[in-house]
Formats: sequence, structure tokens, C-alpha cells
Amino acid sequence: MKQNLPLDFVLSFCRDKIPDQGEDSYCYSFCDTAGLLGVFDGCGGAGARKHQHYSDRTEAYMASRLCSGVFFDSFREIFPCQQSAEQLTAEVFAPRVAQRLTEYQPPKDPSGFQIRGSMVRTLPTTAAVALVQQAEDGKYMVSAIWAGDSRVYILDGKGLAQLTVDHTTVSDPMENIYEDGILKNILCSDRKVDLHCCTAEVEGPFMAFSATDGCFGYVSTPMEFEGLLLATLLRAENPAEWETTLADLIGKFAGDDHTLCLGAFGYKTFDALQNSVKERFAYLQETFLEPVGKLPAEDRQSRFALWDIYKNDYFRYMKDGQT
Amino acid sequence: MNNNYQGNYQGNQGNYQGGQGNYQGGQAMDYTVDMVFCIDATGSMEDMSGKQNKIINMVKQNALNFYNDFSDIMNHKGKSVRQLRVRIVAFRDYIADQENAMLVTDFFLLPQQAAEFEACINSIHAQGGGDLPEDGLEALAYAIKSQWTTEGTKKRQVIVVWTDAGTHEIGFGSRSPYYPGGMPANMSELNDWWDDMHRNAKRLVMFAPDEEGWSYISRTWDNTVHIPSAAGNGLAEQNYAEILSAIANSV
Repeated sequence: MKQNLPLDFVLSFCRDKIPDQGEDSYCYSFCDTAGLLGVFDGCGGAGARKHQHYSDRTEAYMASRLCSGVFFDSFREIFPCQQSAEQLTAEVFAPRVAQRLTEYQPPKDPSGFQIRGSMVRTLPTTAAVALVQQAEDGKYMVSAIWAGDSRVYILDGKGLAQLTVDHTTVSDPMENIYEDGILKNILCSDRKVDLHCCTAEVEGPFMAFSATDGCFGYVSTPMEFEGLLLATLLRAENPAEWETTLADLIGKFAGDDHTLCLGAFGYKTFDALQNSVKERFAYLQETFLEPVGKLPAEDRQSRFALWDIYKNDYFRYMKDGQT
Repeated sequence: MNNNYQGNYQGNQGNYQGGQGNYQGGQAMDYTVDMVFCIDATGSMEDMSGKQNKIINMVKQNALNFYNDFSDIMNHKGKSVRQLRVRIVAFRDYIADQENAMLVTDFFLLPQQAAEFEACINSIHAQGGGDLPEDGLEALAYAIKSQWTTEGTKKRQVIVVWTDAGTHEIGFGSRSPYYPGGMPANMSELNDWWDDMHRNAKRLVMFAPDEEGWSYISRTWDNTVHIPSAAGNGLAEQNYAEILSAIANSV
């Protein structure tokens, strides 16, 4: 018999880069044996069209909320259930997203004005959803369901690990910081919905979270993103303070809306959680953060050399050929 | 059973006092942005409804405003633009206009060279052009082959086209003695030129009618934004804001 999912707390923030013009959304929901943590980044470039029909909001704004709603509603309706995340993605989430986006197609502008082009989509958004389920043997199954460049991560005493592979022209996370790859796959109503799914078996305790690219795309290395997470965690008195200080610190760097939704599982206390990452942070700081901090901004080569060391642990949940 | 989350963390035991937690993050990223403005300078860009409403004047004003508006919106979004350069390609028709068919400048570094840039824009006059399709594809070829900057962390290479006409086939004007060497032999080669640009940095924004040439490019080239119109004429303020937002958000 499955045990209950030992949820400690949920941390979430959804910050607009420009107040009241943000296009990110998020959702989370839990039942006894499973939890869902999702973020959705409405694509403001591809979905800049505004409609009176949407209270003058953009299609990007609408799309992130429509898709967030699909995952939230579906989880509440279906769970607890025995189906795998892969089955649910193919049979429930993808068709429902497609249906919802089609139902909410915007009306044509009465003036006839319409932006077109290969960059423009109808109701475009990314999605990154962490689905956490208690496995039979006391372990956990953490599934990432995604489209686009928002990500699902696991964070524990071994550090940060990415589960998703960015659907961009540049999929290496380090290279993508500099190259800013173009999105190859997003959720929208004028293309086939292509949601990807992968599952990792995880031993507790751990944290799982989803994040939009505003959180991780504006530091010069992926190591620094882990640095932001752990430094703010270790400074905080409690989850609420961690949530605020992390969001504030990311906001200093981010050139975009930044949304993150995290669940901590099996730590029992915040103290225990902090203790579990102290050693990791000391290693991270000595091996990566301090050396990176001394590098001139233009020294990419040294950053990439450090990334080559760091990424072995960072990709520990990726299957062969995924990276 | 559904959605019964009652986050069970109750304590305030977070008592970490170590010195390791003072990390404040690394370096923020900045952008270098190069823009090439391809402006149709043929007689059809003169509007019939009077001097105040000439399409060419509107385009010139839009070109002058564009980099300011773009910089503003980038700053507003917290995207730091370290260097912004703009270049102009004013085009007509090689057969009809011969040596006056193409005006091509180097990049102006803005805001340092704003006065020179403005003077250059203001020197463009709508004249000539012959038949209605123009040599816009040659202008695009010039733009694609610009000396794009190699500096900066994140690079953007934005080509903006304003025209009220479709395009001749590439090479249409090649019997003119003023037709430049080194142009693509055909559309397929121009496609290759676009493919060869930095795939993540390039953007093409077209304020152009929905006619062959531009509509083909809009459909088939990657990273394009097409605003079907006569050089953007008749766009409401809100439309312009939408377009600017689309471009800035894609950057």
C-alpha cells in the first residue's frame, strides 16, 4: 500500500517584470499520494496580440492561464489514480490542452489588423509541470511534463538537477544562456500540442520544482542559479522568508517575468532541510561560485570549463541521449 | 481527497547562522542589438491625400522613433542593451532608377550618432520606382550581409522593412549597369543567406503588403513578424504598441 506523500511545504511566486503586464501563471495541487507543481510562461513575442474579448490582455497572458487551468482541473478530477505520467500526458493533459486552447480561440480583429509571420502563434505558452507520486517502495516518482523552455528540477543534498530538455534551438542549458535559443515547441492553438514527459525515481528527502526561464536564464552559469536557491534557503528563517528572499534576488537579475513553484518532501522540519544542503553549498561555493565570481564577464571559456565539471551531477536524472 | 493540501510545515526552526549564505548571485546578462532599416523610397510612398499624410514621412518618423521606443521597452523590461546600432538601406528599382536605386549606409552607433542617423533618414525622398513591384529583395540581401557585431553576451540582429509594394524577382534589375555584384542568383540562394545568419539572433519585421515576395518570406522564413499593410500605413497606436511588444518580447 502506498504511503502518503510527506509534503513539508509549498513555496511559490509569480512576479511580473513589469507590474500588471506579466504573462506567467502557475498552479499546484495535492492529494494524499501525489502532487502537481506547474508553471506556464505565456510567450509575449509570439502572442503579443491583444483582444478586447480578453479584457485587453494578450494571447500570451490568456494561454498561460488556460493551460494552468487544464492541469489544475485535471489533477483534481483524476487523482488519486494508477496511470503513469506518460499515459496521463498522452491521454489526458495533451488532448485537454488542445481542446481548451481551441475553445478559446480569439475572435478576429474587426479592423482586419493581424500580425502574422513565422514567429507569431495563437495562444502560445510554455508549460513545465512536476508530478510527484509516492512509489510502492518508499521512493518517489518525479515526472516532468513540459513544452518549451520552462523547466522542472529536483534539488537535494546532491545539488540541483534538471529533468526537462529545453525545446529550443540550443538545448544545452549553459550554451542557451548565451545563445538564447529560439523556441521550437510551445503549446498553442495553431500547432499540434506536443507535451513531453519523462520520469525519474528519486529517494527522499528532496525538493521538486518548476520554473520559468526568468528564474534561471539571466545568470551567467547554471551553477549560479543553484547558488541563488541555496544561499537564500540557508539565510531564511522559514519557508515564507525563503520564498520572499529568493523571489527578490531572482528579480534583481531577471529580464523577464519569473515564476517558480516548489514542493519539499520528507524533511519534516525546515532545520533538517537546511542541514541537508549545507555541505553541498560549501562545495558549490568553493568549486564553482567563487571561481566564477572572479572571472571577467567576457571569459566564457573558463565558465564553460566549470560547467563541464558541474553538469555531471546536474544531469544525473537524465537518461542516456537526453542531454 | 482532491486538493487537500494542508502544508504541514509548522515550525520556525530555521536557525542557520553560518557564513556561507551571503551569496548574492552572479552577473546579469546584457544585449547588443543591431538593426537594419530597409525603407522603400519609391514614388508610390508619396500618398495622394496631401503632404502631411505622405507614407514616406510616416515611415521616416517611425524609423526615427523605432530605436527610441525599442530601447525604452527593453529598459522597461529590465533588459540591458549595452550597444545599439542602426543601419539604413533605402531602395527603389534598378531598371527605373539606375544609380539611385539603393542607398546603403554603415551602422550608426546610437545614441552617440543620433544626429547623423536623423540627418540620413531625413535625406530620403520618395521618388522614381517605375512599375509597382520594387527591388526589395536586393535591399534585404544587403541587410542580411551587414557587418553584424560580434560583441556582447546576447546578440540580436533585427531587420525592419517598410514598403507599400511587392517585390520583383531577385535579379530582375540585373541588366542595369548599376546592379551590384555578389547578389543572390535566385530566391533559393537568398533563402540560404537567411538560413546562414545567426539563427538565434536574427529577426525580420516586415511592414509590407500581403503580396508575393513578402508573404512568401513571412510564411517560409524563420523568425519573421509580418504586419500586412502599406508600409505600416493606417496602423492604430495600439497596433504599433502590439508590434513593438512582439519584437521586444521576442528579443
